[in-house]
Amino acid sequence: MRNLEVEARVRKLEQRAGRWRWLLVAAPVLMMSIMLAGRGSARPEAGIAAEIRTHRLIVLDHQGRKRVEIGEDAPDLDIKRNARVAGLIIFDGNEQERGGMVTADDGSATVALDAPRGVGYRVSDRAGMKVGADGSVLIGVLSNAGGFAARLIAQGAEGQLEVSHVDSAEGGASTRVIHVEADSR
Amino acid sequence: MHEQDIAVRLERLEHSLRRRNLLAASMFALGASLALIGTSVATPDAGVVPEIRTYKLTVLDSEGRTRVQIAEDTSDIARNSPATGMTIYDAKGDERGGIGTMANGSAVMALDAPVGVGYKVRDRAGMRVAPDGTAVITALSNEGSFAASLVAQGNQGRLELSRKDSARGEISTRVLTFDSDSTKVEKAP
Repeated sequence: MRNLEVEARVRKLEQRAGRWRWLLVAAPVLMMSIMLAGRGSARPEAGIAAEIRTHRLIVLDHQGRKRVEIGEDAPDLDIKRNARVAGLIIFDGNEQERGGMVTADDGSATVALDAPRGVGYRVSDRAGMKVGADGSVLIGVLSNAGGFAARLIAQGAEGQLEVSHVDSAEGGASTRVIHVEADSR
Repeated sequence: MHEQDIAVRLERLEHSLRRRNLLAASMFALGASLALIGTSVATPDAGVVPEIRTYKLTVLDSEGRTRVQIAEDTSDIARNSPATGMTIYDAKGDERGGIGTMANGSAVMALDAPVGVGYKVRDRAGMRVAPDGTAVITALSNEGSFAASLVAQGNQGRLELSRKDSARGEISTRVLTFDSDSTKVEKAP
């Protein structure tokens, strides 16, 4: 009687152990699959997404500082602009905005580069190119004294070059304008 | 004999249980590792992806409109030469410029007028470096011709200022170089 009881208990245990044997085979297969998926070996173009869609992309340097941002101006942006913009903005090592390529809500498209904060005139724009909502074009460089130093303009059917000089003593600016047919001051 | 048989079978069962315990411990360790990787707890810069590789990156504004796209031109885009780079779009969804390299070997940055403003080819401002190294920074008028350009070619630079006379069908261009100042008149295309 006792032998029969022991026999029955051992057989039950053997059946239970047998049911778990498949796990010994399945576990290594599962682990291998996870590893392959992680390393991208399971796909032909490993690690390349067909398309990424986002509202904001921020690229950091090796010290974790923001150096490039692509997106739309945040509603609470601490920089004053003429109009809200969307596009690419670049930042220097002090995380100060130094330029960008954007479209603005006023209908213009602009590329601009800025002076470092604290250098020259408080409005930091120093070089840029802008196409207005009316199609007029301005390509200019600005001096640290503030105002355009030189600019190419396309307006109406013609273009002109303007070269300016700021008189520090008088505070006024003199501008030489070169047209297709004449020069003026 | 029967007792001996039972002893062998018990030994097998004990061995089997030891393996199962080992497997359970391994699975637990693996699960915990995967969970840590998944939540980025294991990396110091949580939320920072070291590199993103893609064929196309699209940035949308708050209203879901495409405002920036970085990609290669698709075959249905009409350009002098297919470009790869960044393109910006205005709030109406129209292309307004970009910066990129082209299949013809040039590197270009351009800004466009809004759709419906001025000449149908909307390029209005840009800079281009050609495959031979020639560089141009230019502004085009709504009439559809170059209005003002700075050109670096060969060993010198020049300024070109133009005016289109639609009534006469002529374009007058004044060319200023280091040692000359001349004007030429050409038939408008």
